[in-house]
Amino acid sequence: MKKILVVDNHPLMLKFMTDLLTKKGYQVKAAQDGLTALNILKSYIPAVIFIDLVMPNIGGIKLCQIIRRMPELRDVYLIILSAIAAEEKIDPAEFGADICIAKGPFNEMAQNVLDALDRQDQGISPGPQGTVIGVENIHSREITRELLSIKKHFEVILGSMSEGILEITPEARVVYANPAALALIDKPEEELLASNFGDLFYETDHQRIKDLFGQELNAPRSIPEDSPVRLNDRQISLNLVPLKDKENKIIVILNDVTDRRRMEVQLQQIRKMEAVGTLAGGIAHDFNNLLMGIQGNASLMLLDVDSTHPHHKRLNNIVKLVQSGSKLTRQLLGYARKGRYEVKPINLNQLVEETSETFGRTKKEVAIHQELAEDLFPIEADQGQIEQVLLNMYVNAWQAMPDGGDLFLKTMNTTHEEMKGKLYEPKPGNYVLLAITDTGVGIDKNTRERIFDPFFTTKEMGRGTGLGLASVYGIIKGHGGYIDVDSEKGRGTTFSICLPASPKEAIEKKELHEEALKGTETVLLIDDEDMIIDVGKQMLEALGYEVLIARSSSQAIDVYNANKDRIDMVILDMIMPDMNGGEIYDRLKQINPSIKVLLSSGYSIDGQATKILERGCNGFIQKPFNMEQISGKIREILDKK
Amino acid sequence: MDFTELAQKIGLEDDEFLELVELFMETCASDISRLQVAIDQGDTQQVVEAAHSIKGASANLGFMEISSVAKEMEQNARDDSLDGAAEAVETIKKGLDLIKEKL
Repeated sequence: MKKILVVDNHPLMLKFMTDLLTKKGYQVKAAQDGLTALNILKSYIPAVIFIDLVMPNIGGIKLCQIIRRMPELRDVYLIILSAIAAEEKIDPAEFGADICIAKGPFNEMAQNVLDALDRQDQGISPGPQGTVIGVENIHSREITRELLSIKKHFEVILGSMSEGILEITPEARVVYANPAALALIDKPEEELLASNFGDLFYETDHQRIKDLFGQELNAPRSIPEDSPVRLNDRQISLNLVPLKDKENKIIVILNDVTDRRRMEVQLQQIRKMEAVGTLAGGIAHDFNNLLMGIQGNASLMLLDVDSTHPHHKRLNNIVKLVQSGSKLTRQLLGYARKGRYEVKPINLNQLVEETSETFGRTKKEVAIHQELAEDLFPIEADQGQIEQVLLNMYVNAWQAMPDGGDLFLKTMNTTHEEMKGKLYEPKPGNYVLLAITDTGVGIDKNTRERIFDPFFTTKEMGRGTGLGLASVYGIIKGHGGYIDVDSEKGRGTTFSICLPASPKEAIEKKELHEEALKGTETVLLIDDEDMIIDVGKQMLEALGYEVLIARSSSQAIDVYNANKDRIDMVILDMIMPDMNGGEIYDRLKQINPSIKVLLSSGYSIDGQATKILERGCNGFIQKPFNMEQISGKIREILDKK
Repeated sequence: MDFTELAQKIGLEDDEFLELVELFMETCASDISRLQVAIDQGDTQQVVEAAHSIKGASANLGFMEISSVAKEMEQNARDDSLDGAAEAVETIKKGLDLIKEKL
């Protein structure tokens, strides 16, 4: 007994066809829409299926396409039963149907249906594939065509929307999807239709989707933008709107909020950085002055104790702790993209060579290999910050190689075009690339995603501040550069840093003095902090200098005017309460155009020191400094011919 | 209106035909109430759909008078006119009453 399935949404048509075919000895099942038909077809394999074209819950054309993709139904005979097919001149073969029979008065239609089945039984084709049978007596063609054109009108609207629109049953099965929804879900329509809506999402979101359908849907419900669900690595907000028709179907509007969310996160990040920057800048000045006081006192005490004295080691420990303390502020400032005090053209190779040599001396288990481009472009940068970046990177590499390993340092020239294919869009121009590769444990994907986050650390509590890479990132961004990480667990890591090249010529770096250099000249020390004046004066005197002091800007001008013939140089604090360092410098320079001034600062606004230096000021020193550092700077200025 | 004649015309036994007519009456009843609400609210799109359903089903069974009234109502509604729609509904209801008497 041949099995038949009839799919039509009009009960009258369904009953007529069922009765007619049952009477002729066929086994017949009926479905009132495409979705029901697909449910029946899970366990019922008919030889012939009659399908109405215009139906709710998966229309006839879609249903044909889905059926043709089901392997067990590939050979089923598909007969379209519709008034509309005749109007539209659609070719049933196009969507996989065999023939089309036009609807009309039952007697004519019945004859056509039975004829088609007889012929199919006998293996005779009822007509060439794609034939439309029984169109002669169809009524009201015009009207049907208009009905179709309204439908098409909505389809154009749905097709051009950027939101994904789905129609689903109360049981959450998909019966319609517009092109935007198909693109978001990334599945062919035949596969999507009749599938379960919740299954489209990741398991972690299943409960939330389930909750949406939890109670009867009377009013619109949503998964809002601020807590979206994930769909193929996109972030999606959902709006469920009940249709309130008799089938209680639901329209789902899918909005891709990925880009908006990303921008919000970026904005949040910028705000966070501003806050940290303001905070760090605020404390850096006072903090560094405090450290200067501690450093100065320790330096002065060290003068009186030789290396055999039990306090010698303790005092050196204090000096080291002061350096760690000042590093902490530098890192906070770096993260907040501040702290570029003195920006000048420098040679990155030279910095890499010097810092890696210092580092290599202390960490013998790491073999350092250099491959530095000889013709490397200069970069315009704050040397202290770039050194901070390099040392951070070396320390990270060393920590990734607990049993020792190789550290490769490579520099080369590059351009924005060669940096393509990255997450960022580099500004056009020449760049200098520094690649730092270790042979360590590598970084997994999850850690990689968070690696530049402030206060994120893989080290146990109390071991790392989580500021190292965050400050590296901030400093590189602050210099208009880019940083990338490439790593695989167990196979080592490469950090690539790109910094904009400068057309200016690099300023040769002076050698650092390991020992305090003495002198006998006269120095005017200007600072509003008593502590700095106190230790500064004694440090300079210990170095052999004659020291005059001034605690305010007006005092500074007076003292200089009175002693301009014997003052050889001035050490000027940049932040004074009544007049800023730049103004005092200009006033002093008016008095003596060839005056020699060393700027000192605990913290200043980016570029402020650079501006004063550009007006002829002779040098800059960052607080806290020790005897060796200050003496080197002083000799550098005074010995310059 | 002779059911036997109508049944023969579309090739059905009397009882089969009657069953279909009963189903037709049911679906028409729901279409009619949909029509009345839609006309009250001036919802021409709903009028078009309900009238379209009545028109097709009545034509299937050979009730051509009802079909032509529904057809005219559908066409008017499509032109955004509900003129005479209420009267047309009454005409259809009378036609349905006649059928009901024969059941």
